[in-house]
Amino acid sequence: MKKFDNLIVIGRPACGKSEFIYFMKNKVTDAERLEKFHIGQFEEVDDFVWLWDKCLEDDVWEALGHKRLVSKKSDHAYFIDNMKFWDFLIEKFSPHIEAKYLVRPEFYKNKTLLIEFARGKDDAYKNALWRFSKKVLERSAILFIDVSFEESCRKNEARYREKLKSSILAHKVPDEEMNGYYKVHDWKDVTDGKPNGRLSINGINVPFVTMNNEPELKEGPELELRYKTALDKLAKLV
Amino acid sequence: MKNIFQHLFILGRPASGKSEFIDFMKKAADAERAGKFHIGKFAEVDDFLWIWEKFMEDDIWEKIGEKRLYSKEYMPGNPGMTPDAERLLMFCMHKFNEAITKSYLPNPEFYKDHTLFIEFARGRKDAYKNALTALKPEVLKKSAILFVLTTRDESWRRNVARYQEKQKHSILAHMVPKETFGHFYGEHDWLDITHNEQNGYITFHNVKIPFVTMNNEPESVDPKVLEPRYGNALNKLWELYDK
Repeated sequence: MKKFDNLIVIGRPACGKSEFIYFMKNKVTDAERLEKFHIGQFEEVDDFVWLWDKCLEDDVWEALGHKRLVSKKSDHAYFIDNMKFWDFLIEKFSPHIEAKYLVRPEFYKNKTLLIEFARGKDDAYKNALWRFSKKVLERSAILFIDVSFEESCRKNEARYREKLKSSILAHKVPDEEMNGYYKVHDWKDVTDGKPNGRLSINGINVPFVTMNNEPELKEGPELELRYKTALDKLAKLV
Repeated sequence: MKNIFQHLFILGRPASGKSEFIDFMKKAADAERAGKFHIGKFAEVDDFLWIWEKFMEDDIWEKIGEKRLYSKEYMPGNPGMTPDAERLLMFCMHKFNEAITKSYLPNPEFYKDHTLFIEFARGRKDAYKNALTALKPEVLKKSAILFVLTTRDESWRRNVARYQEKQKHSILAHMVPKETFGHFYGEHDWLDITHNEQNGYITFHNVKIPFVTMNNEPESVDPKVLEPRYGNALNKLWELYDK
């Protein structure tokens, strides 16, 4: 049974990355996940945690009378106004993964590492993926979760409204960031419009599959089939 | 467990002996540590980790073509804080407040048998005055301060010696570079704010905090020397703390 070692899960904000991970965590057993989706027991590395941490640090700098470093406060969260910060975050992935996971061969015996991020702008994924180290890329496959910009905005708002019901701390990607940063990306250019194949990144052939995630499916056999079809295809390329 | 410090500040110049003190306490049995030194099982909060993390982040900023924010690689593989990065020290005081109020103070169980070590080094004019003033009263209320005193020259000597010793075993050895040491750690205000008293109380935010200044020279690794040195200081501190 093929198992992904590193599975890079990317796509616009609210495209369904978290729902995909939720499904894999909660809706299937370890055995099912491995058999149907080629994903072992898994851990996650998501740059949102680092991003949020830096935004909170900005609050501290501001309180201490210094200028914020990477973010501005927005009504519903933070707005990243230092574009270099996106590169900073990507550069954190490889050293982190190498130090925490690649040094432990036993981790990969039955586990998968999910690497999650979203990027925007004309050179979004070309810039981001090419910043990963060869060591990480050698063990990676890419699942791109594709939704339109409009759908991404709709789900971003809907998710926020849903969270507001249960927490005043609900947040969303601010509209100015959706429009200013996430509106366009280069995934189709990077993949030459192919739905699957291999990307040559830093001399490593990295398998990829693009999974159309519209219309939104919240559960049920159709969702499972959507995931399984994409991941079966990806596994064949590994 | 009674008769143990709840928060014990361990202050002093880099390489003054703070880590060696903690190492000594780590090796002592729980009962012995509590009985002789008034220290329970313990956890540590040390701002070195936050500062080092910022130095590592500087490597990333530099890699992506940006300016380093806080540090310079004064020696290969061995960054040190730059003079214009003093703001980082106050940032760390905020982190102390955050870490302690979130992870320890809400947990009374912790204090039943634990002591929290709070460790940092500061230098320059108003060093400890500014640092301690930045802490929240609720953090200070449970506290006693052990100041590990060494001269500037002794601190520098040990800083270099420790580095050379570590270099024998690891390429990851580091020290405070002389540029950073000279700028940040040459002088401090501890003896001023304590009026050259060896022990007593200092007050911040209307909280009276007991302190002891422990002379940590000459250097020793001999438990027969360290035990009475630490014991005398901490027993005096306990006397003040328990009043």
